[in-house]
Formats: sequence, C-alpha cells, structure tokens
Amino acid sequence: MFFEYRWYECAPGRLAEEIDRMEEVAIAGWKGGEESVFDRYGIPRPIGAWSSVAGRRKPVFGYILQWDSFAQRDTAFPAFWTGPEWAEVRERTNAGFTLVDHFDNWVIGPNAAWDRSGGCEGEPIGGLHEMRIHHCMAGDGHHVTAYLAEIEHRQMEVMGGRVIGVFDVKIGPDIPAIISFIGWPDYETQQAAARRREHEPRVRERRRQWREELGDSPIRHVEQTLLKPLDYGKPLPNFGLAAEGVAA
Amino acid sequence: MSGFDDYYELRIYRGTPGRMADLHHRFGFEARPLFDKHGATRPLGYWEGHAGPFAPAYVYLHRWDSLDQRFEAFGKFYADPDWNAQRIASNAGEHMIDRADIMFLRPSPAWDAHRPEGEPEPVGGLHELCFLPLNTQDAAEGQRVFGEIDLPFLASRGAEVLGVFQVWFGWTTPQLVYFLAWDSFDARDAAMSAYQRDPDIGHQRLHERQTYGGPLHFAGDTMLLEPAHYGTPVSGLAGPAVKTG
Repeated sequence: MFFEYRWYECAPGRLAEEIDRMEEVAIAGWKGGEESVFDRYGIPRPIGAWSSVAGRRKPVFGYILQWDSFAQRDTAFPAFWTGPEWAEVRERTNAGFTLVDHFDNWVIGPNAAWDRSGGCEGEPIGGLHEMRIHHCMAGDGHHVTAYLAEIEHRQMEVMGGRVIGVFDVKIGPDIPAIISFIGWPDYETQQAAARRREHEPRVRERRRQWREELGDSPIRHVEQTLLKPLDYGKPLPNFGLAAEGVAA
Repeated sequence: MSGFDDYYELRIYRGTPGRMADLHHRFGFEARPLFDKHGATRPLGYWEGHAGPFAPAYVYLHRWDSLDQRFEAFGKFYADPDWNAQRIASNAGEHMIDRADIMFLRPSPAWDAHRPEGEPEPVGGLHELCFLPLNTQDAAEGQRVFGEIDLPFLASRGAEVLGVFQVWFGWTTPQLVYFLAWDSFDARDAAMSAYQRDPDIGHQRLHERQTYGGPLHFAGDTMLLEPAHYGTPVSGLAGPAVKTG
C-alpha cells in the first residue's frame, strides 16, 4: 500500500476549471451513469483534495490517492490516460490551452508520528487545513518525528486542531521530509495556535536539547501552506485509514 | 504621492521557531535608535505572518531615496559595535532567523490608479503579500492588465491596495510584488472564490493565451500577514508605520 501525492500548479485563471474537471472524471457519474471514469478504470477516489489559500506558487490544486500496489497504479492510470473518456474531457476542458502548467507527484507513506488510535470513523473534515512539510537533516528524520508526535501535534490539538495525517516523503525532492495535515475550524484558530506555539516552552526546550546533543536543529526548514478542502475532497478522520493493517 | 523614483526594500525573515517575540523587540524597539543614528529610514510597516511559505515570518519594508544612501546607512549600522553587542546578547546562544529574503522594489505603474486620496490612515485587518511573476513577452502589458483588470476586481470586493511594486534587485524578474488589506479572512476568501470563477477575468486570461501563447502572469507565492501593533502601515504606504496598540 502506498499514497500518491499529486500537486498541480494551475494555469493562472484556470484553477476553477481544473477543480471542476477533477470532479467530472474522479467523482461524478460518467454520462449520467453510476460510476465515475476513475471508478471505471479502477483508480481510487482521492482521500483528500484541496486548493491553496496561502502558499508557494499559487494557484495550486492537490490531491492524494491511496493505492494497493504500484502494479495496480501503473495499470489503472495509463489505461485511463489513453482511454476515450479522458481524451474527450481533456480536449473539451483544455479548450485550446492546458489547465496545468506543472505538477509534482510524490510517493508518500505513513510516518510514525501518525497516531490513528482515535479511529477513522466520523464526518469528513472541512474548515481550513494546514499542510506543513518539515525538511530534515539527512539521518535526523526520527528526531523530527519524535518532536512532531510529542510536542508540535499535541500543542495543535490542545489549540483546536486535528491531525488528519502524517506522511514521510518516500520519493520526492529535498528529503527526508515529513508532511503533516492539520484540520482547523477556521483561520483565526490556526493563527492563534501558531502564535501560541511561539511561546511554547517545550518547543524552546527541545531546540536547546537538539543544540546540545546534535549541535544543530534536525529541521532544515518548514514549508507551510494553508489549504481549503474541496467539497468533494474533504478527508475522513485519519484519511479513513484504520490503525491496524498498515504496511510498514 | 510617491513616484517611480522611489526605492523600497522588502525584508522577509523566516523566524527561528520560538523567537518571534524577540524579533519584534529587536527590530521594533531595541535596534531602532541605532538605525536612526546611522541614517536608515523608518520602515513603512512591520508584519508577522503564520500562513504561507515563509512562515513564521517577520516582515518589514523601507523606502529609500537612493540605494547608495541605503548601503551607507546599513554599512554603518552593521559596523556599529553597539549593534554587535546587542545582537549577541539578544540572540542568547541561538540565531533568531533561519533565513532572510531581501529585495529592492520600485513602484509599478499598476499602483498609480489605486493610490488613496486624503489623509493617510492606519490600515489594520488581514494583509496579503503576493508575488506575481510576469511573462517576459510583455511585462509592461502584464503590469497594465493587473492594474486595470485584476486589481479593480479585487478592490471592488473589499481589497484595499497598500502597494504594488516591481522587483528591481534580489528576486526573480520581471515580477510584481503587492500588498493588499482585507477586513477579514472570510472577506478575502469570498473575493478569491469569485475571482477564480469570474467570466471576465477568464476571458482576459484566454485573450492573453491566444495573444502571447501563455498568460501575462504566472503562479506566485502568497502569504497572509498581520501588521504589528507598533508598526501598522498607513494607506498607500504614504509614510512611516504608526502605533495602533
């Protein structure tokens, strides 16, 4: 089992069309039928889909897929790409020019800081989402995992956030990197938590310990993006992933 | 009114986690007399940001009459033993900044039609700092379109234009850099949703693609900021930041 993180830099002015196109092929019944085009080709529906509110290289549209295997993925996607439905949708919705300038696709998998003991039942999570990518010093990812599990994510939960998922970037640029998705009821709560974290003594203490033991921080830099979950892309708690049965 | 001849210096610090309060103290208060002593201009605004690629961000903006004057002032400031002593004492064994991005800007013609009239007032609320790389095929047209089509759309839905600049040194060019102010996050969110689906804006982008083979501006970085209580910018960035809290 693995997760595919797909992040699209949309052509300016065409984010809405990209969002709608994804809904048309991944979610909506094709030509009035029950199954979507993704369903027809055995591509799972996204476990989360977003547009960015603040972040790098806006406008951005992103989603995550959960696959059983690479064989499944590399059978289903190429069949979809070369099928008649996608050719028709793509030509019609591009309307002469591409909707997407570039996209990244990474392989990601659950990080040890992702505590799913709370289960994955419940309503899809709306509000405002915060994606934090911690880029770590090579060999020091486990220190950052421990910090996220013991301090940062706990602080966010106390301040009204929900940890939706935590992933290691397995194949992608600038690794080791850990991606956290946090759900907030609104912008004000997210901001209050960020400001409060600046005064969190455990953060200062952990950084002091790192300087003593490692000589430096194991975090090279953090890239933060605020995301709006799309109506059809609101993730379930813990991205619908049960605590047990997770492949290492 | 400021003219094209002005230079602006945008300083974006990515704070070391836990040091935001120290950054406010250093640049908002402690180091100010030294900046004044060496002839640095008073910044036009100070901001803190926890949304976007530079977060946690501490941001401030200077205006300069001449870049030679700027280098002279900063040179004297950095060479001042009082600054060095202050810096070592307040760092307290740990740098306050992980990374600094510093760029020189000049006003964009796109700003002209959006300069406020009347007495400058402090501008609170939610501020937005955006970067908008321009298509090199016609960067002047990209600035014109942004000022005459995109900005009026956002302004009509509640954005107050604080400033619109073009990158002069230090960042990718040609590129627009602009500051907007909104009443609230929700007001901005509603305006951005409308902007993304507006047919006239869509037609303009289509026209650009038909004419230039691509849009006149590309995807850019966006961060959300809150002005500091001791350093709130005034409308049109018409003078030094003011105290509001």
